[in-house]
Amino acid sequence: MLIALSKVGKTMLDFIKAKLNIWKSGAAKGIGDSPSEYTQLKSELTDNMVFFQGKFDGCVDFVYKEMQICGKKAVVMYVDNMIDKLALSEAVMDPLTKAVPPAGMTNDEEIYKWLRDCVLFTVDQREIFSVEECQWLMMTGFVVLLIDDYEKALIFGLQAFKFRSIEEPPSETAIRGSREGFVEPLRINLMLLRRRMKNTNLKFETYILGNESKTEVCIAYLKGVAAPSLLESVRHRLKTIDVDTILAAGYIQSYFQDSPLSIFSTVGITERPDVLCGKLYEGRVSVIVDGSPTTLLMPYLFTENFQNADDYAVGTYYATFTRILKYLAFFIAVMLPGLYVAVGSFHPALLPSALLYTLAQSEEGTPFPLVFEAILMQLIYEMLREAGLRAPKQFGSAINIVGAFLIGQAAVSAGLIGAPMVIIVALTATTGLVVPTLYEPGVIMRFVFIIAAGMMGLFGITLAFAFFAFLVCSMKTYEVPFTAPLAPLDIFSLRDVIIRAPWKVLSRKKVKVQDVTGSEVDKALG
Amino acid sequence: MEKQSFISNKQLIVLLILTRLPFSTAYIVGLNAGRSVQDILLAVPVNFVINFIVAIPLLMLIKRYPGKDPVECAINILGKPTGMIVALIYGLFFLATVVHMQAVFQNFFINTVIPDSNFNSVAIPMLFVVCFYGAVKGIETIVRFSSIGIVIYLVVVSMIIISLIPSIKLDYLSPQFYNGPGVFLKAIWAGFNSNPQILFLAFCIPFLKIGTKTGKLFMKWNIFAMVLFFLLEFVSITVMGPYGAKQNYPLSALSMLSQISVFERLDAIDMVSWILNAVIYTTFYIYLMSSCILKFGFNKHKKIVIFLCVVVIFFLSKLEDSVSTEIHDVYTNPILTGVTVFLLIVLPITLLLADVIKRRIVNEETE
Repeated sequence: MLIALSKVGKTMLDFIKAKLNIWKSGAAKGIGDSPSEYTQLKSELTDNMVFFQGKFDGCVDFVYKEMQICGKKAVVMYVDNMIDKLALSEAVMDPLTKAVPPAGMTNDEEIYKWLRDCVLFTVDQREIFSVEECQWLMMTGFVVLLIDDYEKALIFGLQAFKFRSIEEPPSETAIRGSREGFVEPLRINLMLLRRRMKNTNLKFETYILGNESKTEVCIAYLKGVAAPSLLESVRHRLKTIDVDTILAAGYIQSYFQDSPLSIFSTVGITERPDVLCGKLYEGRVSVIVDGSPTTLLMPYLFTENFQNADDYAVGTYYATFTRILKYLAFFIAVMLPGLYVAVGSFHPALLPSALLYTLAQSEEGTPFPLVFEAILMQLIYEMLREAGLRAPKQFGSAINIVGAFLIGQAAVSAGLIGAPMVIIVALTATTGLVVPTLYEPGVIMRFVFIIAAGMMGLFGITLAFAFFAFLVCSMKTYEVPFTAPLAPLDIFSLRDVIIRAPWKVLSRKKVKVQDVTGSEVDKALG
Repeated sequence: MEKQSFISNKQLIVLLILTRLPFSTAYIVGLNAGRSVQDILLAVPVNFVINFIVAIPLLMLIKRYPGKDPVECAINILGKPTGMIVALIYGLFFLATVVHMQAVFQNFFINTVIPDSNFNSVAIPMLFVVCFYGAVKGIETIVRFSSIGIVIYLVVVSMIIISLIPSIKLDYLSPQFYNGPGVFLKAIWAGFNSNPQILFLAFCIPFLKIGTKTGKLFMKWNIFAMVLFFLLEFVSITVMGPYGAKQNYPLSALSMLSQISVFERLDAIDMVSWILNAVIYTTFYIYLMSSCILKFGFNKHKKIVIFLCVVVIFFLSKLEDSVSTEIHDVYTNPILTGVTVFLLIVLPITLLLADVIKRRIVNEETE
């Protein structure tokens, strides 16, 4: 009976899934996926131009210039403001207009080869044969040269579009580390990586994804270090992405998640090239999206949330101290309000008498139960935080004043909230930002702990903790346990988890992510 | 069973320790021993030796069929129908044990921790949410969680022990056998009855690396358990003396006496580790139960089987909770001794004999 019911339930679920189509996956449809379907350039220049003018109709930034080269009609095309016009004039236009073929050179193909090899001198120069490639390359800052009677085009990489300068990422600042962060253009980001790792094993593979946006996406890895099976898994997932637009790394992050419904992310993000290089050196694979300074990292372990660039730039003892501080801060941020509610409501005997009397005195006149106070204050704090983030800068100070007044003073003096709860909220707010990558799951866990504590005290907290522990322990990121190297325990790997061992110890043996205890990268993905 | 899962020897030892700890100390010390409570301490090393001797038949059986649990061994030796019967027997044993443990836990919780709570409010979130979720996630998740649980347990126990060092009175350790050897023998009996960990180990064999020396593994676990038990009982006896013998939950009583700086007493913190252990214990038992039932060919309906196990445990433990939870009676109960002897000694020896006979017949036929 139950089995039949489960079958009916499964059929219904499949039907709903198919209707909603939220988990659909299909082959990526971008440039480079099916070259056989490309449209070949025509030999007649007029035919090609009719095509391009039709395609770019209404695009005011499409620029083309007709000219004569060695007695043949030619057209130079580009997208305005994407190229360096001076370089175009000096490296392409000027030599072309002055070009006179050597005496006796009458064959069309010979003239073309002479133009290509002896007249034009740009470094980034290639031949292409399809209109799709012409279109895409123009929109990435290439100049296209079409010559009558030739079924191919010459392209010149003369990109000079404006982009944000390289600066330190605000979300990952370092006191003693590098001040450089990724920017939006993919090629600049690749340069930042290459400059740090002058190694031919550092490989970049590019793909074009997004049916409409045609965004360039790059896989970066260190050959010989990253597990081949891991790399293949990332490639496979990338190829199954079927979205119309990819405007940031976040658009495709969920495709690389092993547990998409979990509150914890199994895909790391960084905006720092030095951090990314370090991670690649440990066998990880990265995905970089053109137009986004955020890069994705796979696999990503829970303990990596507590590591940052500064840990490796400061002394061992201080780095270890800050590492432990981060674990403590996360614990406080997530559990303190719940523990306060549990102790205050169910287990007051746990506290020393003096402290208990002080707390009781503060909470005596308040009208709400502790659990309601905690939820209310946390909600107000989260709303203020959201307002501070989203509101225009001009309103920022006003929000701060109102927030501080509302939380800090008015609520307490009006007798609505106890003063200790304000301290708890302030502590939670501060400690919650010590590990920024765990802020989002931390907020959700905090509310769960408060509600559980309000219902069943420490028993509720323990059950909620057990639930989250089961959740975290069951997660895997590319066949590596998410909780490694803590569970399963890998004593050797702990030298960079709870503590930060001296560099002499760290560099003695390279630990690849696929070698962590419990990892089945090669066994399962291979 | 999930053959693709993998656990290490250390993880298994930790899991076995955790499933032994939460209640055994309570039972062994709380034997109404009065002034002879110190005799229990001598029983700990004796129990260690007995445990190892008792485990020999099962270890021999496992050794003959590497990578297989007792049910799979039975299927290989006597065929699938007999294997099903063996699976049913072990499944029922796991059910009975977890039901009793749940009833004791609920009893302790409702009477000692939060008197305002009732069975449903404690058991429903624990069984139907946390334990069900953990069991569905599988053995790897359970053992990983247990390695977190043991750290918390050891921290809490260390805090309790350290805070109680000044209260230790070595006078409580003598005289030995003041009232004869009765308490000593009873402690050995209770230790024997409350130690089915060799069965757990046997059921976890498929998840260990092929070639793991199970005897060595069991020895390591047994030594670790003995040291920890000895320490806990030493502190219980030397701090509480005859008063400890009246306590159903001596560790909880110890934590009430302990005090560390900001904490007036540590019983609430001890309760946290206790609940965590109970969660791991229950989840592991549910998992073992369900893996026995899955042998009947319900592999495709694992979640339903686990859910049904949880439902059965819930109702049976509610029934037992309403009847009686006199813990001393259970672990010095001759019926339980009979069951333990049957499961640990008689059944494995029977299977071993059947295997020997079967192999002999096969050899004769081959010749």
